[in-house]
Amino acid sequence: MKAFKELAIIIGICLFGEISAQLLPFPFPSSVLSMLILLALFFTPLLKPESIEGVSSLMLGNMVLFFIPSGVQIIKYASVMKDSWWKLVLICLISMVLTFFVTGFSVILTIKLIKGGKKNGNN
Amino acid sequence: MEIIETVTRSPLFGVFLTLLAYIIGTYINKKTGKVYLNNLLIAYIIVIGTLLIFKIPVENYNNGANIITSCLGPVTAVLAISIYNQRKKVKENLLPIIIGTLAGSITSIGSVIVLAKLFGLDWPTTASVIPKSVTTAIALAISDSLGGYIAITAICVVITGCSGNILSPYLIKLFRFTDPVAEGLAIGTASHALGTSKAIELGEIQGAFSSIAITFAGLITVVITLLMVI
Repeated sequence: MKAFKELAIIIGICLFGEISAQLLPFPFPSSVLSMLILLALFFTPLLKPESIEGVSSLMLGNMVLFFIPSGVQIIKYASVMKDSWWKLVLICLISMVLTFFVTGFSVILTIKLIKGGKKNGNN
Repeated sequence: MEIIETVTRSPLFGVFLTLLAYIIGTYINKKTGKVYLNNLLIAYIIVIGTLLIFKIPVENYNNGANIITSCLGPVTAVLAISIYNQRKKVKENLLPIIIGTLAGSITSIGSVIVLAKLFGLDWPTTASVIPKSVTTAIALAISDSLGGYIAITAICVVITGCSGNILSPYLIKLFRFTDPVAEGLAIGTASHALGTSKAIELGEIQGAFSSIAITFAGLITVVITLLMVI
């Protein structure tokens, strides 16, 4: 029963997120909006993370499962990509690695600068 | 053959095949402990292989698979838990989060434009690849506003996410990242929710910061591409 209660809470919030996304003046994914709503609720007395802990940890621990169907759709689009598929794969791959590096590197640099600034401030 | 057609049309078939592929993929991954034997990759091969060998239309698979895909919303929403659990660390690192995801998103968009030019892609195709590093729903909206093909965008999002999921443990070693905050933000900015599922495996901090990066990178990419259209 507890699992169903948790599931009902999560799905209810997601439905609320879908309605809210429709009301926004710009296109915004309901899933990310639901995440922000859920996060905001945790800071209120209305909902504690413990109330949805069981189902959430099952979902988060097996997140990959939910991405299997969307990847399989590649078969459908194989004809759309035709001869340029290897270019698309290569561009995605190279750009992903570059993004990964720049993000991580600028985070490390920023943290270092903040720490350095604090040290100087203390002196 | 008619039996195959009837059975595979049942929604239970798509759900069953997906679960089976996931269980086998995860089993092989855990048993061997090899990063390159990624459970997602194995699952893709099993499902696509089954559909091709038995000549099962992907529409039949989707009858059930769509049920699993519709859970993606709730799965993304509960990432809020991992952010909430790390709220103190998030507050302390607000500036690195903003700068990291901003720099990453600019790199992502810029590198796609440059590479597409090098490979001689036309604009609609380039526009389709530009939002590849953000979560599907945002990516499709961006691609549409830039005049891209939504179908190509959907595939590029999966290719990028999947490669982030597989490669991020290697990239962390290659670039010698040791700070879990930097690791999480890099994974989430480069490869959205699909990479985030790997970040969660790497650790609680990585998972939380990767989840935050999905939101920030998504918003920043929307703003940058809006400016590009104007």
